[in-house]
Amino acid sequence: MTEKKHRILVVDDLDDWRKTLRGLLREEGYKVDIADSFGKAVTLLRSKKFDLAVLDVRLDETDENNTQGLDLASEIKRRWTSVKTIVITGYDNPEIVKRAMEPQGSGKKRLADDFIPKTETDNLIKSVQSLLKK
Amino acid sequence: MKVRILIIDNEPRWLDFVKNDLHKFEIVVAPDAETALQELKKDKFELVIASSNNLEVLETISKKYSNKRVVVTTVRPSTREARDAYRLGAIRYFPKSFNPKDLLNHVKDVIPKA
Repeated sequence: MTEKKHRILVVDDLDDWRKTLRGLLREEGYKVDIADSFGKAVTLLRSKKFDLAVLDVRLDETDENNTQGLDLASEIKRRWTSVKTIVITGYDNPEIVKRAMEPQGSGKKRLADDFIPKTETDNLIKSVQSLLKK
Repeated sequence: MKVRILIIDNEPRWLDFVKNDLHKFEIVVAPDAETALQELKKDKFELVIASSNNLEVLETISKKYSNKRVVVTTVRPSTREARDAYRLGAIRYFPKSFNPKDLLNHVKDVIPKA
C-alpha cells in the first residue's frame, strides 16, 4: 500500500512519548523520525521530505506557558506547505485547540489539520491514516 | 436588507439574550437539528450559531452547505468538545457569555459586512 511509505516527523520533548509514538506509527508501516525540540525538528524538515508532522504543544515541560509546538506548526505551514500537521497535548485547554484549529487570516488556514488529546493513540493513528489518504 | 442569522439552541435565557444583543440582525431560532436543516433548506443565512448540544448537525451542514459559516457556543468549554467542533467545520468555538456585545463582537469578526 502506497500510504505505508509515508514519512512522519514526531516532535515531543518527552523521550517516552517520542518513542511510544514512533513505535505505534512504525507498527502501521510508516517511516518515522523523531525530534525533541523546535530547532532539531526544523533541521530534519530541511534535510528530508515529510508527509506529516505530529507535534506536541509544549516542547519544554518545565515551562507551563510553552506552546512552541504551535509555533512549529505555523512554521511548517509557512515553509513546508505540503506537510500535514497533527497537534497533540496532554493538557485540557480549549484555548490551545482554538489556536491550533481556528481558521486564520484571509486564506482561512489552520495551524493544525487535526488535534488529538495525547492519550487517544487510536484516534491519532486514524487521523494520520485519514490525512495521508487525502 | 438585514443580515440573517440562524440560532440552533433551545435555552430560553440564552435565546432572550441573543435576540437582544443581536437586535440589528434578523434572527431565526431552530430549537433542534431537524428544524435547523428545514430552515437552511428554506432560506439563506449569513451565519449559523449552534449550541454545542447540537454538534451532530454540523456534519450535515458542512456536507450540504460547505461554505456556510458556523460558530459553536458552549456552556462548559473543553478540549474534546472544541476539537470536535472545529473538526466538524466550526470557524469559532466560544463560551456563552451574557456580557453585552461579547456575542455581537464575535459575529462582527466572522461576518465582515455585519
